[in-house]
Amino acid sequence: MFVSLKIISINKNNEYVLQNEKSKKQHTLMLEFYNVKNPKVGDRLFISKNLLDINFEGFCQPYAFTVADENEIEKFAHNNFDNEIAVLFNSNNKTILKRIYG
Amino acid sequence: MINSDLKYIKKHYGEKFAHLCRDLFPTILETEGLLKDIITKHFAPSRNLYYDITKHGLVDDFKDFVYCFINLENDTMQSVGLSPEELLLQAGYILYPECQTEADIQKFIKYYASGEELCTFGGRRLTTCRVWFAVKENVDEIKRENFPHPTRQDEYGTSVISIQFSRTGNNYLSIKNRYNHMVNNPDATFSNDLDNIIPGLSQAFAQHYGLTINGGKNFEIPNYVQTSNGEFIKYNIEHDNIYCCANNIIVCNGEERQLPPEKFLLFDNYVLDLETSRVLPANAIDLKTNRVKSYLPPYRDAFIESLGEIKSAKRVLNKDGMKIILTPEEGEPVEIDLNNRNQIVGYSNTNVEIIGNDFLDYNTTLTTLSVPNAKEIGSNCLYFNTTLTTLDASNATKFGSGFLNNNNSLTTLYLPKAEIISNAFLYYNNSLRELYLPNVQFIDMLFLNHNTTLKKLYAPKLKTYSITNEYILNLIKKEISSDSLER
Repeated sequence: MFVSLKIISINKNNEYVLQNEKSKKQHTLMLEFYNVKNPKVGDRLFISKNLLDINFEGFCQPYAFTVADENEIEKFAHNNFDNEIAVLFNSNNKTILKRIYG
Repeated sequence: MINSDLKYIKKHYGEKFAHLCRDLFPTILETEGLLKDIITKHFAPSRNLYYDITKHGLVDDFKDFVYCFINLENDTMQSVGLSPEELLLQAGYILYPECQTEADIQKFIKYYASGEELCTFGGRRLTTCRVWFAVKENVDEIKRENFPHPTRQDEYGTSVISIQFSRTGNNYLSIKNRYNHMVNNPDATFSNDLDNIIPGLSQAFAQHYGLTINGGKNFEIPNYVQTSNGEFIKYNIEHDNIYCCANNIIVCNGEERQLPPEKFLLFDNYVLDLETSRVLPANAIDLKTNRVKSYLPPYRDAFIESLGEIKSAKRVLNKDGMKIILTPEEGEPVEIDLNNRNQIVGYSNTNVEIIGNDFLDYNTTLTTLSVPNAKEIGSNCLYFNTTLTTLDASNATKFGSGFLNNNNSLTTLYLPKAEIISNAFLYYNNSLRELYLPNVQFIDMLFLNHNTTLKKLYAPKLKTYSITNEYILNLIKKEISSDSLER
């Protein structure tokens, strides 16, 4: 299950403060972005709810993302890999991202 | 006779909280001073704490959080004096010194198969994390080709691990696997619990390297910020990572500072300079020198602009909190009501004609707003407010998008001069029962988008609308003639 979060501030150490606009609940995540322009305040991130749960087995900090290619997007869509993808929305466009590890 | 710890807790946190501690921690209370030390170290004194814990259903989490410190103390007794290096040696690993530079990190890339390198080697990780590598003593005997079916916890995957702690107040631990993305959850090797490698390792790292490891478990209370010392403090408003709390306290980058009360009054995320009567945003104060910063980058703040040039300021204490009376150079005094946490609960200003965008957008406590001479209300005003029950904007003709987006307290609203209502007006409201808009001509989309309580909508001059809420749409069609409408 995905949630849409608005970036309301970006602190040092790549800490992103994200807010669910409906519930107002805030989450602070350390995020790294490779080969994509760093998001800015006001952008929206669409990610798996699991990644917000510190009790989730795969929870770790920071989460790292890079741009997903079309083959990967199709693979993720068909295999329900919710925790592997995210979507970044800014005022101009949408970028589909995949998790990278290590 | 009341336990001395409970007596202290009752005095500083209230009787209900003391009772809660008595019920949850009977065995901890048998050791005098232990519970008091844990509570005082981790929670700023507050009589709200009991209500905030229970209101959010956090009693069990609170109990686990406190017991987490008791367990750590037990581990200390079991492994007194052993360093992480010594413990890992017992587990068959060589723990190399903490990586201080990118060159230190790159020394370990040789252990990773092609295509399985960690993104740690990409060059930015030291900004966000403290990094160690632990390598099995017999690493040369463990060959990748002998493991055609990788699993996270197999001998190869765990033969070289990168132990990384985030550089935040809670140092989140991530143990990186030698297989990297070839296995599931590679950044959670050993389930991100160092004690799964060898008991006592978490505490050893915590003690030797000054870390606050939560082992993947975290305790949060809504609207509380945790300082770098691990203390939870309730805040009023957070904006740009500055947490404005009661009692003139600001938490910024994990550091807690109290503004001198003889010089400043902190309310919501604003500061009244008592020497100059200026109202400034909280980030205008240099927290090290307790002075207004000599250079302030240009900023626009609709609330501050609405006050105009202030000639003098007066504070009047009352039973609910305080009233600030600001006398402008021109016009009538502006009145700001604060509750006992110095949050804005009332605002009355007969001078302002334009309320700019984002006016008090983060305020969640205002109940009364009186701006009778305002002709225009900007976008996202009172966006996050849920509590407003009384609004006088009797001369406003235009309301910007997102006005009172999250409000769920208004039951009756009369906007006699409103002609244009932009999108997402009272978007989440589901309490309004009567709405009078005698002059409105245009209503944009997402108007009262979640409302199903409105019984009376008076909008006889409505010409153009773009309403998506079927309930409201039906109400409009019933209330006014459909001939005069166009979508």
